[in-house]
Amino acid sequence: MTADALAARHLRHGWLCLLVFLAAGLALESLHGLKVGAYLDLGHAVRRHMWTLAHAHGALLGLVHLGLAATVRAAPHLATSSHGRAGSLALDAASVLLPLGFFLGGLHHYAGDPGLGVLLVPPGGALLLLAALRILLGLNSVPPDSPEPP
Amino acid sequence: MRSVRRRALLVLAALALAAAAASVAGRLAHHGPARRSDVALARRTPALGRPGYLGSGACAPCHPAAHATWAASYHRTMTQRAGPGAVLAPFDGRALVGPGGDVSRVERRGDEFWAELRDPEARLARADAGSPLEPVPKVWRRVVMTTGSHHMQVYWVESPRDRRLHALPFAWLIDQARWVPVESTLLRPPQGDVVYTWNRACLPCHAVAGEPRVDAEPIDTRVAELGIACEACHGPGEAHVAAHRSPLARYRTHLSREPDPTIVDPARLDHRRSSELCGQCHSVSRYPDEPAFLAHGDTYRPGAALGDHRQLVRHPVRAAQPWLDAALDEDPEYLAGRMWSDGHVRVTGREYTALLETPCHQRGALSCLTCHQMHGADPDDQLAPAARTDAACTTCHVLQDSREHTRHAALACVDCHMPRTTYGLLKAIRSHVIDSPDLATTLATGRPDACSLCHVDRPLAWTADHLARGYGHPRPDLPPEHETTSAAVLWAIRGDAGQRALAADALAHPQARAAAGADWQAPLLAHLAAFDPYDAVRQIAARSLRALPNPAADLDPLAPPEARARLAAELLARWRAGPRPTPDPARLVTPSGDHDAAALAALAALRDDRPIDLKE
Repeated sequence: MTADALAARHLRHGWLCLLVFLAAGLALESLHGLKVGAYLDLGHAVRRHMWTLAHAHGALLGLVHLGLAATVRAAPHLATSSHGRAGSLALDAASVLLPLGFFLGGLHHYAGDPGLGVLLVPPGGALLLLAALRILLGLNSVPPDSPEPP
Repeated sequence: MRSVRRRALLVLAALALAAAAASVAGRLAHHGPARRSDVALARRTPALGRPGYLGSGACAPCHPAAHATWAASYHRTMTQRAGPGAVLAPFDGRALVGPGGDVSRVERRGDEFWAELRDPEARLARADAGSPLEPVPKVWRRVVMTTGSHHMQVYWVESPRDRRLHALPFAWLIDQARWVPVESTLLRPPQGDVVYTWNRACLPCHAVAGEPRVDAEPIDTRVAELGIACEACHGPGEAHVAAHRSPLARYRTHLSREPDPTIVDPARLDHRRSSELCGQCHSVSRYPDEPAFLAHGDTYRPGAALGDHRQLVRHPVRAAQPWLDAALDEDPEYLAGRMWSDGHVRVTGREYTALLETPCHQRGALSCLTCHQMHGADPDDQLAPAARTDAACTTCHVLQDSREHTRHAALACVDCHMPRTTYGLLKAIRSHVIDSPDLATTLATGRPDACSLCHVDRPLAWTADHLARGYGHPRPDLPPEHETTSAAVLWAIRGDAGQRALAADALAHPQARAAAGADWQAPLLAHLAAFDPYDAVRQIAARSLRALPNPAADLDPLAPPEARARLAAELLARWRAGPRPTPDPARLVTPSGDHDAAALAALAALRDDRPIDLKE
């Protein structure tokens, strides 16, 4: 994949995430505005917490996608390095698992604990960490056609 | 130039430092006395903490909704350390005058509440010595604890020696916003000198897992938590919290269908066990080993069989209980103060004992939780939604035509089957023995029947005819007065103090006003409010008077006798000036529409003056 194609993909993913999770934020604010018991009652404190986390993580991951797109533009060799490709895929997967895990964890929950959907969150978090690490390693690696230092 | 700037900076820094130091000093100056006050409060009230118990604060993080609904309940505020958030009465320096003319004073000092009263320690010492309690010197004592926050609030003053708590002899009636003598809140003959202490009588039900230790010197009463908190019903929580620190353990519990063995969920107990939970407090019961209880507290824990830890008192006509003889030897009035002669409970707060006599519990699955819920209900009666309609009954008792059964347009099952024949808290409360109106029982026990508590203008003969026609009840032999005079009037004027209290409450109850009108009761209630020898009966009658539309009159039931008599005469004169009721000898209204004072006097002369002491 070329650098332009990779950057364009993360731009799309970034703006898609922002669209989805800013809309989700509006939906959550509407639940507040309409005083929906299934979201605001103290018995659903776990749901409120989980869905807030889903919204926040999703929106922030959108920004991370945009950041990666800009990074690829600045360091095009990331598109051809294994670190860069792995980081990109890990970020894609984390962008699904993290918000989805929080959302499902709040959709059905127990007293004081999120539902089993929250099990998606730890792998999502690990993948996000992995993405950051691989992109950092990709940035540190020397591109194949770079001139030899004098 | 530079030195001038440096000097300005130094001055600014010095000013900032001085301001910060002043702020810290101010905080410390305020914090020091407040902290000392809190420490003193903690030293003079029951010590908090029992092995295995953590307190309700440990439940909130995982069960915020359950914690919040409990926090909104009157269970939580049953016992509180006295502070600005707990004390409802005005401690404004006023003088409170007791029945014997003895004066107490109450005042607030910052966040502390203080009372001047006859030294309770000295009074107890004199009582132990067999001397009269008065006169003893007056002392100022800090009010350290409160009981109640719903109907009334009682205050407890510190003992200078230990954790013993003595009642301030005045209580605050919340709905009337009025100080009254504690003795006046009880339905009992005037007792003279009484010093109430909290540590033995109140502790078992007004705190979690209390340990009286009243035989220790100094007294070192301990509780898990003040008030009726989570662990009172769910059991000690330490093991539960420890087991559920691990998320794996929590999810194992969430995903299991089995009850969590580390905590009690009353909703998952069978109807007997779950009701016993309530019965640990809401029953007539005794500790089989009183000294052991005084030393170590109650051995009952939620989920266990209550009968293994308590002697659950039932009337001898209901169950043979040989151990009850010892209680009756000690106090021959033990049963009379708590039950009607057929074993129905007649005082509030003992609903589990009533439930034990109810066929729906004995042969069915009725439990306290059928009608009450502890989380999320209206705190007033903690009724579940099903109990606000007939649904709690009709799940088992299916009626094709409920109107055909009730023969009334708008009656709930409880109106006939749980009439207000229990007394407590200066009012009549629904009986929790679920049964049907039966005039033979009414005549034998003196307990008012449901019909007569609404149809307060009708004689028992009228009720007997209706029960015979509508339900095929045999007509009992009625004394002549029950052929001619309203049953409620008879109970109100010539009944015993317990009957008078119930009838005074019934005479102006909204359902009674709807069924029997509201224009004829005032003279009868004025008579009760002015002349009844029991403070409690007079207060109930005065409250009923206030509920009548005309005349709107306030008769102070605790005023001196001559003032009450004058107020009653004024009230009667105003009533006579108003529209006259329809003549009816059954409700003591003459053919001219006047009050039949002669008939009232004749009935009052027959008043049952046997002492009644209801142990609510």
